[in-house]
Amino acid sequence: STDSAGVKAPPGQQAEYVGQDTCLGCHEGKVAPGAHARAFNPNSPAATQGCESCHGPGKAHVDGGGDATQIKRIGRLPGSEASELCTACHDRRKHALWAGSQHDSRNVGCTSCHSVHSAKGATAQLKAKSESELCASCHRPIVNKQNRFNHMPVRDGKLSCSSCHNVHGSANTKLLKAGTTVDESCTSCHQEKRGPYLWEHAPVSDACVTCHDPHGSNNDRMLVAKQPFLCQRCHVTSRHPPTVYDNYLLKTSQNANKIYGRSCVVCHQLVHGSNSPNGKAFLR
Amino acid sequence: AAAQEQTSASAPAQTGVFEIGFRGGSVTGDEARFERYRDLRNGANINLNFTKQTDGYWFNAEASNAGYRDQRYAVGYKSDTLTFSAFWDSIPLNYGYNTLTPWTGVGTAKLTLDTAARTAVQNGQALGVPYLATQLGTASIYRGLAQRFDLEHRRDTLGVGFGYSVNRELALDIAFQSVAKAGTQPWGASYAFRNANEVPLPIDHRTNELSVAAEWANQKGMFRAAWEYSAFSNAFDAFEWDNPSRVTDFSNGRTPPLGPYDPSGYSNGNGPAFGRQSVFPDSTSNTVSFLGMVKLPRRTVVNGGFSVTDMSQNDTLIPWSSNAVINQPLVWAAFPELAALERSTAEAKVRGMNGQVNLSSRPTSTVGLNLKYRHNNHSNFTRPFNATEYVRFDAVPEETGSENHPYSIARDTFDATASFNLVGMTTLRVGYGYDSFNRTSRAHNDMTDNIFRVTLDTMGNQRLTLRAGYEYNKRKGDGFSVHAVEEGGGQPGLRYYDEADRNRSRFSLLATLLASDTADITAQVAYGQDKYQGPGLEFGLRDAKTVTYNLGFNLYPMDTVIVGVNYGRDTFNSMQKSRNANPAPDPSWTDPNRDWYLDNDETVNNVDIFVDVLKAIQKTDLRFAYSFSDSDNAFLHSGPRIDTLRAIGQSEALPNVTNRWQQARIDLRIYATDRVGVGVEYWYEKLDITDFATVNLDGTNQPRIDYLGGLTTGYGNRPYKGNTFFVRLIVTPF
Repeated sequence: STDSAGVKAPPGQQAEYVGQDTCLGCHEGKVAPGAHARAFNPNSPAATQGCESCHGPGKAHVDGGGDATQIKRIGRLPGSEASELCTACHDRRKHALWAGSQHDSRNVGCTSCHSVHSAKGATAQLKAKSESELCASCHRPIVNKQNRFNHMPVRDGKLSCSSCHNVHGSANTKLLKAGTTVDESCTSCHQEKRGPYLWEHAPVSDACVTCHDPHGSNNDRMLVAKQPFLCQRCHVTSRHPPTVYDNYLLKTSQNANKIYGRSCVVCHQLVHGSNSPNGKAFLR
Repeated sequence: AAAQEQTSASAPAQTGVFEIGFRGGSVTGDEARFERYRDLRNGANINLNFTKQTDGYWFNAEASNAGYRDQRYAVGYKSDTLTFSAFWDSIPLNYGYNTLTPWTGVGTAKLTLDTAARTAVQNGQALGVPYLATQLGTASIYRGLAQRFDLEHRRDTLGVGFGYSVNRELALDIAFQSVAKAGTQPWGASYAFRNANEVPLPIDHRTNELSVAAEWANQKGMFRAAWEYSAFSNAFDAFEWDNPSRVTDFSNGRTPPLGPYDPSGYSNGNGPAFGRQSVFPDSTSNTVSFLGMVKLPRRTVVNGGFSVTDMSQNDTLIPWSSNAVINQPLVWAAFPELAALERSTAEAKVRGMNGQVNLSSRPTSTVGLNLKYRHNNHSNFTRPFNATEYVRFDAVPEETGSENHPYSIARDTFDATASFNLVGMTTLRVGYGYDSFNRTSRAHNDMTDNIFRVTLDTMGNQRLTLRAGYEYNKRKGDGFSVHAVEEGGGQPGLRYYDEADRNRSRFSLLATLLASDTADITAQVAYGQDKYQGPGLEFGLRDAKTVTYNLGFNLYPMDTVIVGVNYGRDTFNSMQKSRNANPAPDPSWTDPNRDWYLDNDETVNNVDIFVDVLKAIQKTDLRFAYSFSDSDNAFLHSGPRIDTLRAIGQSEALPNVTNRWQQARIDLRIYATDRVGVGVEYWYEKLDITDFATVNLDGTNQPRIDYLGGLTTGYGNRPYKGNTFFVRLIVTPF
C-alpha cells in the first residue's frame, strides 16, 4: 500500500501496513509533531511509514476494531523495550553509546524523558518544561544545588544539564559530553586552565571535582568546602598551612589574610597551574 | 496531499512568538551579585522566535535579551541533505560594581600605584598595608586613592556548524566555534605573608575550535571518525603590578646569604618595587577519535571508541625575578642557576589516550548483562625543569625548590552488571566494578577501587515507581611513598584524600506514587559516606558524610492547572585533622599536643514551588514560581591545640557562615486575540548572607579594602534585594 504522502511499505510487508491516513481516521490530530513530521528528511517517520514507523504495522489493529493488543503502545512498554524501537533510528551521533549506558542500564528509557505526542518542553520533546525539571524528577538533590549561593548559570538559563552531560551515553565518566576525563570536560569551556603547565597541582591534573562541585555550592568558586579549610585537608605541612585559622586570628593577626577574601589563593593564585619558573608553590 | 494537510493542520508551517517591551527594576545591596550571570539593566526587552517548516526544509531563528550583555541569537536550517546552525551567545560574570582598587591601569597587564604614596609608605611616613590590629584604626593611604570600578568579564561565543548527508548512510559534519573572554577577575597579587593583595587581573583571551567528522550508519550499526582542533591564545604574556609597600627594590647592601635582598622579604614585604606573574599560556589541543556500534542478534549491542589527544603549551617563560637587586652577578655567584633560565619556553606536552568497549545484552526477557572496559591514559611528556634555586615572591632567592612534577595517570576500568527481571516490571541488578589508577609523582603510585553494587527498580505497578540502589566502594592504595609527602613539608601521617585508602558507602531511594489521576508524590533519600583509613593515616580529611531528603508533589486538578512543590534538606559533615607545627627538628613537629580537628557541618534547606494556570481563565496564562535555598555552615575546632590556645585567650570560634536566597516570579499573559497579547512579569529576588571572609567598613555593607595583611578589591559576599518588572507586547503572527 501507499499512503497519500507517498510513503511505501517495505516489500513483502506492504499488506500489513494501513498507512497514516487510516491511523488519523480514528486518532485525529495525533500526528507526531517536530522532527518526526519532517517528510523532507528521508530518515523521518513522515518519509517512511508514518505512524507505523514506530507503532508497527497496523492492519491487525484495524482489523481488530482498534484492538490495543495488536499495536505497539510505546508508552506502556518497559523502558528498555521502548528504547529499542527508538534506537532503530536514533542510533548515531550523540545516541551511539546509548546501549549499556547509565540510564539504559537502569531501565530509564527514551520514553522516560521524551514524549513524541505530548511533550511539554520547548525542545527535544521533553516530558517536562525544562531540562532541569526533567532531570530533577530523579536527580533532585543535584538539581537543587543550582539554587545554592555559588552556581553555574543554569537557573539563569545560560546553561543546562546537557551543556555538560550527554545523557544518552558518552566516552567520558559521569556521562560527560566533552573529553575523556573530568578535567577535559571542564576545560572544554575553561580552556585557560587546561595547560599543560610547567608546574601542575596534582588534584588539578586528576579531577577538578576534587576541589569544586560544578552543580553548585555555598562556598566561593563552587568549592566543596570553604577556604582555607579545603586546602588544609591536604596541606598539613609546616608553619602557616596547619595554623588554626579562627576568629581570633581574623581579628588580630596579619594571618587574617589567609581567612578573609581570597584566603589561600591570595598568594597561591596560580593553583590551577603555573608557567613561571618559580611556580612550585603557585605564587607566580 | 491529505496526510500533509493533516500534518499542517496540527503543526502550522510557520510559528513564532515576538515579544517586544520594556523592563525596569531596582536593586539595593550587591547589584553585581544580583546580576551575576545576567544583564538586568532598565530598557527595551526583545525576544523573538520564528520557525518555518515546508515540504523541503525547516528553519528557525531566535533572539533573546537582544542588546544586553547576556544576549543570544541563533539560526538553524535543515533540508533533506543539508543542515546549518549558527549562534552567538554572551554570558557575563559580574563580581562587583562596588569594588575599589588603588592600582591604576585596570584592564591592562601593568597595574601601577601612586609613586608618592609608595614613597611615603617605604619611608614610614604613611600606612600602606596594615598588619597589626592596632593599625586598623587608621586608614591606609591607599584607601583614599582607591577608585571604584566594575569587576566583571564576559564570555562571547560564536558557533557555526554545517552538515551534509551524502546519502541515507553517510553524513559529514564540520563545526567552528570561537570563544572570547574579556574583562577582569579578582586575583591574588602578593609579596609576603603581611602583604597579600587582591587586584583585577586583566582577561583578554580567545579559543578557536574546529571539528570535522564523517559518520556512516545503517540498520546494523554505525562508525564515526572525527578530528577536533582547539587553540587558546591569551593577549597577555605576563602580568605586573606595583608593590604597595615599596617604590624601589629593597637592598641592604650586604652579600648573600644576608643580602643584598632581605632574607625575610617573603615575610615582611621587603621585596621588589613591582612583581611579575605568569598568566594563562597559549595552548593547543588536537584530538582524533573513532566511535563505533554494532547491533548483534539476541538484543545485543557492542559499542566503543578510541581517541588520541595531543595537548601542548610552549609559551615563553617569564624571567626568574622582576627584582633588579636579585638579577645581578653578586647574587648569581651564590645562586648560579638564577643567572639564566635553563630553557626559554615551557615545552609542556601531554598525550591523552582513551579506549573503551561496552557490551549490552538482553538475550531473554528475564536476564541481561552489561560489560564495560575502559582504558584512559594521560601521559605528561613535559621536560623536567630544575627550580631547586628559585625566587620567592620576587623577594628572596632560595635553594629549597625542586624539579617540576609532570603528573601522568593511567586508569583501567572494568564493570560488569547482571540484571534479572523479576515479577512484573521489576529488575534486580548486581554489579561489580574494578577501577585501577596508576600515577606518577603522587604519594600512592597505584590505587584500586573495588566496587559492589545492587539496585532494584520497579515500575510493575502503574501507580508506583521505586528505584533503590546501594554501592560499596573500597579503595586501596599501593606503593606509598612517604618521601612524596615529606618533600613538600608534609607530616608523614598525612594522606591526600583524593588517593587515600577509604571505604565509600552510598544508598539512594526514589519513590514516585501516582496517588490519583490528578496527583503524584515523590520522595527521595540519599546517603553517602567516605571514611578514610589505612596504614599510617593520621592527618588530612578523615570522614565526610552527606544525607539528603526530598519530598515533593504535583497536582493536576484540571488540564489547565498544575501545581508543584518540593522540599529538600541536605546535611554535610566532615572531619579533618591537622597539627600546628614547625618543621622538624622543631619538637612541635612530633608533638601530639599541637593536634587540632575541624568539624565542618552544613545544613541546607531547599524549596521550589510552581503554579501554572494556562488558559483556565479565558485567554489568560498565569505562571508563578518560588525558589528558596538557605545554608548554615559551622566550623568547629577542637583538640589539644585548641584547648591550649583557649586557655591563653588566643582561640575564638568562627561564626557560622549563613545565607538565605529566595526568588519569586509571576508571569501574566493576557491575549486580546489569538495573535496579540500583553504580558506583565515581575521578579523578586533577595539574598541575605553573613560571611566572616567578607570585610566591610564598620557598620556598613561597603567594602573595606585595607585589612590585616592585605589590600583587596573589596569583592565579597554581600546581601542584595532586587525587583524587576517586564511589560511586553506578545505577537504570534502565524
